[in-house]
Amino acid sequence: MDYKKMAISIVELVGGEENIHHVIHCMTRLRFNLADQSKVDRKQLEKVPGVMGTNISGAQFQIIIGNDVPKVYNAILENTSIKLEGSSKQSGKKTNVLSGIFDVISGVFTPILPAIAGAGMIKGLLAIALTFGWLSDKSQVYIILNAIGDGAFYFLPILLAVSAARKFGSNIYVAAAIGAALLHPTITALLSSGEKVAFLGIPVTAVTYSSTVIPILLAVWIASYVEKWIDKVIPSMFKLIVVPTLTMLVIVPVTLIAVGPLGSIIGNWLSMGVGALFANTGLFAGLILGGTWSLIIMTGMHYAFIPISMNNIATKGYDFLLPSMFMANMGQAGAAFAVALKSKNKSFKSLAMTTSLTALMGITEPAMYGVNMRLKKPFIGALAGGAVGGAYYSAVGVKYFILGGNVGLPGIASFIGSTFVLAVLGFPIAFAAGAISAFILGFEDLESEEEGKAPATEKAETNGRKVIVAAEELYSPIKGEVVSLSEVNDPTFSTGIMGQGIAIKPEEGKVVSPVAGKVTTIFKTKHAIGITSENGAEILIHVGLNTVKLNGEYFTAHVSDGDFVEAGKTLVTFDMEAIKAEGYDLITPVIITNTDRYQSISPVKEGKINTKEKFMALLV
Amino acid sequence: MAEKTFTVTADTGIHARPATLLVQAAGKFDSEINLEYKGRKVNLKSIMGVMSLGIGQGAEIKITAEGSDEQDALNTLEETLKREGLAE
Repeated sequence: MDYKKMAISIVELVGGEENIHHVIHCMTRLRFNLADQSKVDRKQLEKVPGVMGTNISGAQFQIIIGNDVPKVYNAILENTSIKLEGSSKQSGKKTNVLSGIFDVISGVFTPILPAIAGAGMIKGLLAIALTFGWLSDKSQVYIILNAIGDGAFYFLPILLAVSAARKFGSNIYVAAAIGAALLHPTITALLSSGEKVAFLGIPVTAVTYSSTVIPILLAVWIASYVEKWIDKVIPSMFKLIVVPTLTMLVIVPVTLIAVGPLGSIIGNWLSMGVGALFANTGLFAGLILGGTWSLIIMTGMHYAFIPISMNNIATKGYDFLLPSMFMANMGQAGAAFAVALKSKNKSFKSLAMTTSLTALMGITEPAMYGVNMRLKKPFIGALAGGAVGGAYYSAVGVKYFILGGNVGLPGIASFIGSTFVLAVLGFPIAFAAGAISAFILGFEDLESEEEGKAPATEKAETNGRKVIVAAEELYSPIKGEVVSLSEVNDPTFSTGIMGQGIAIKPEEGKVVSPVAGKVTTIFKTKHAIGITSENGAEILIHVGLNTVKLNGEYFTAHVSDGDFVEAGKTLVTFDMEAIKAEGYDLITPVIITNTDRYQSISPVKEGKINTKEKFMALLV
Repeated sequence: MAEKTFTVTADTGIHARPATLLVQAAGKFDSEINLEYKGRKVNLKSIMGVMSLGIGQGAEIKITAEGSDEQDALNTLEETLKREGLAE
């Protein structure tokens, strides 16, 4: 493919360079913001070799290219005066390490946001109830409600393990098991006992893993490599047992010995350094600490500060380190608030507003990871807010008297004392500083929903030709009884490695097309039929298990490869009794082999089903 | 670009299970991997694509890989084909 030629034709056909405000690309499309969409020659564009189609989505004009889109995009940049825009996040050209790390962290957090935002709301409301004395922290109602709110946070590493494993491509359940091991009550008790702990003679540093983020991300990241390596060297017959066993046996101790303590060791140095800093330069120390708390909390290093604060309270009667954590949280709340004001994406706007509220109540994870870090620049705004608040607190010498408890508005009571009013004033200062910084810094907004989801729906591929995948419903290809794929007595199907789907126990020896589409393949043994629907679903109907061995006997094909069929058209008939008599299981898995293109694949009906009934729903 | 030609030895050809194994093996690599049979070329990362070739016993197939890890990919696929007794 001559990308240069293609790039030049595309630019010309969208109305020339001067018509292009900016261009970015996603996985498969070039996305143009044009001065005048009427200058586009869509007909000619669609004829350009390599262009699969065009689409208009709001103000954006899209050209569907497929996987080669980065090459075309680069060719456009190289052969025209169009420059990489600040807003071209997908270009991947200006990503540095830190921004890459932020992408990973917020990418891992995004799927778990509903859980932590919900739990955070409960936690925040409970903290208010506690502050106003509506509930006693000894009451059983509180204990149970608190568990509901705190569960997602205490066991955050497990949620993150699942999400991280998806991202890094390791087994999600093994990852969850690793997270669970780190949080096991006996481990927690052992590590917090104060005793010297060792594993096979190697010292294990006392670290609390509950609510931490970085240790589990590193653990799962390492696990993804270890798992793949073990998988390579182990003979396939032992894989199921050996790979997870060894992965867990390696990763959990490595995490306990090396990964977890990394944060705590650095944290100890940090807290000593900060202590010294405060002793000498108050204002500056407050600025630095307030501005970095969010990063410290992220790594779990804040635990290292608690002994110092406890010591402060014990010896001086008050602490001056932890108050800046309040300021950092207000900064996060403020930045998320700015995002809520500025974002044009409706659902993201409301997410930002909700997370700003929960951050005000001291639960910052949703705002920090789900909003500010996701957009990157607001996170810097949040840190600035914390820094301003921290500097203010140390300038006026705010004192904090009760350790532990909420680190947001509901925890304000911990400041009651000589500097209470000054302390309270810090909250709006940090919030406003965070909000204003984030507002001024600006951010690259998320695309509105329909566009944001679009890339996921355009990837299906049949013999090299890409088609757009849309949601659809399939009719049952066979009359019989619907059963779960996991009940199929053949791991190729039951484990879902071929894709998700549903199985049918046939009651009639006839397979009909579940969709309108093209017969991709009728295997010459006629026991397996592949159909690609008009909407892009690749459906494999596999009649019976191991029936490939029948070599076509008892099967009759009624269509051939490449035929276009309507839903309900008879594809194959088979002699049920004869096949059964030969000792074969007739259970028929119906698999969507391009499962990765869909959000969900689910059964529509349970129990008995007829060929004219809806069978499976595919959502994009 | 790395490529290699194989002769299918499995008596049932490349049907659902072998196709899945190959696609899984291919999916681990970044390279673009294709399978050619009788002049038709399909993406070796698509189960339906591989099955649509209807490869039977005795068939001559060619695997091509192009990308940063092309040699690794080809070696792994060769190993998979041999280990599973599919082709040599």
